Amino acid sequence: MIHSWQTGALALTMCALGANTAAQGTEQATHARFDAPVELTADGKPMRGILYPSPTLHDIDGDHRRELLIGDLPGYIRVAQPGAKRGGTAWGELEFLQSKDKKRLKLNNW
Amino acid sequence: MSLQFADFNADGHEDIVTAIWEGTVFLLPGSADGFGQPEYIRDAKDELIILSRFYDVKARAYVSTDESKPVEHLVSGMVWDWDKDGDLDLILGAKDGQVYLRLNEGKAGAPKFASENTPLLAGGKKFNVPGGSTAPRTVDWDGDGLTDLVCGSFKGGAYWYRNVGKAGAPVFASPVALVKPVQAKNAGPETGWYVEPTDFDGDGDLDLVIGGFFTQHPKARQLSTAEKKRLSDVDAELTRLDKKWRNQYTAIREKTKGDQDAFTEKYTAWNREKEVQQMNAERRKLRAEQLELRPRSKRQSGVWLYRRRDEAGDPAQPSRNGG
Repeated sequence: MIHSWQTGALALTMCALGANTAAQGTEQATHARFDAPVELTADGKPMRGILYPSPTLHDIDGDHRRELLIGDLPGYIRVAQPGAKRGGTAWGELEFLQSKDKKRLKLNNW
Repeated sequence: MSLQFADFNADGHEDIVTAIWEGTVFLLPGSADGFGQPEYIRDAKDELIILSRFYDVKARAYVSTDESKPVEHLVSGMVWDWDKDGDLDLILGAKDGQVYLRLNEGKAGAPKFASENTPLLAGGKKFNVPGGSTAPRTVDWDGDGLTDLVCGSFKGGAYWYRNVGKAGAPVFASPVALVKPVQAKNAGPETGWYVEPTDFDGDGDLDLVIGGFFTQHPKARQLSTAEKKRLSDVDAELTRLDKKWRNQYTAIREKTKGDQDAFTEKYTAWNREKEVQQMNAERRKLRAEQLELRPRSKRQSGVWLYRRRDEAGDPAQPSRNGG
């Protein structure tokens, strides 16, 4: 038989544990550590010649694998397919993203 | 130009929301066949979404909307259901580091964005991303169920703004530097950090994918006596041709002072002259030879992965939009 005071104590303990876990999460998030940066490649080459590259990972073709999309200062969007190795830094060739009418997408910038 | 995928128009297809240096926010509507051409996102009064300064493409000049306000130039825009009312609000980033909110007073698929920009606070002070804000990104960085912001900096660095409020009423703490700007040579991006917080490798914690610039420092070459002599000749000839080009360019500028169309016409005609084309070809050739003999540091772009180091018992679980 479990008394109500026991339930209350259990709830308090769970709550305290939850708070501890959340506090620990915040602590670790605050002091997040990273490995030395590794440069991503597209078609075996570093991604040079892109003005202010802005990366995003998103599955745009519905194949359940995220593509690498890169916006730039002149207003173009490039896309690369993921490489064979999951979580690897090698990506396929960067190509300009096309609109549904097969024209290169370009945002108005100068 | 930071990209965000969201169903902005609530038609069941993901769209792209983005902003560019022009200082306005765009929608690229998604469909079953792909993305449509970009269109402006407008406020409830059918006005463009801007801060106090933008680039007028037609006038080819920066324009201030209100001289009494500080110069704040929008360079990023994204959507987020800020107040948890079921529609997407706009978060706008200014180049110098401020972040603003435009509440959606309409509903999902039929937005009516406020016409005023409401400044967001961090640590009780106006948002001010150190080194200027490239683009804020939404993410639950510490896994507490609330959506935080992670911002990249033009001068380098990634900053976490923890949401210490509650779902539907975000409050941001002072920034925490997740990664500080890189100082060492050839060791990752130095400036122009566009930051994507994401579980890159699927190991359950959040990594950072960062686009930016670094300075490539080539190794100096040991030149032979003949190469040294040739380099000296190339330097002298290039100086002479550059001066000649500059003098002619300045003369056109002065003749057409204040008249941009007249300048463009005369400058284009001048560039079509055979003698000028030959001079420019020679300058390009000499510059390439000069670089071959005396390599110089060069700014290069790239994209890097900052993989999160494994933390024993790390409870933080990634979530794109917590609350």
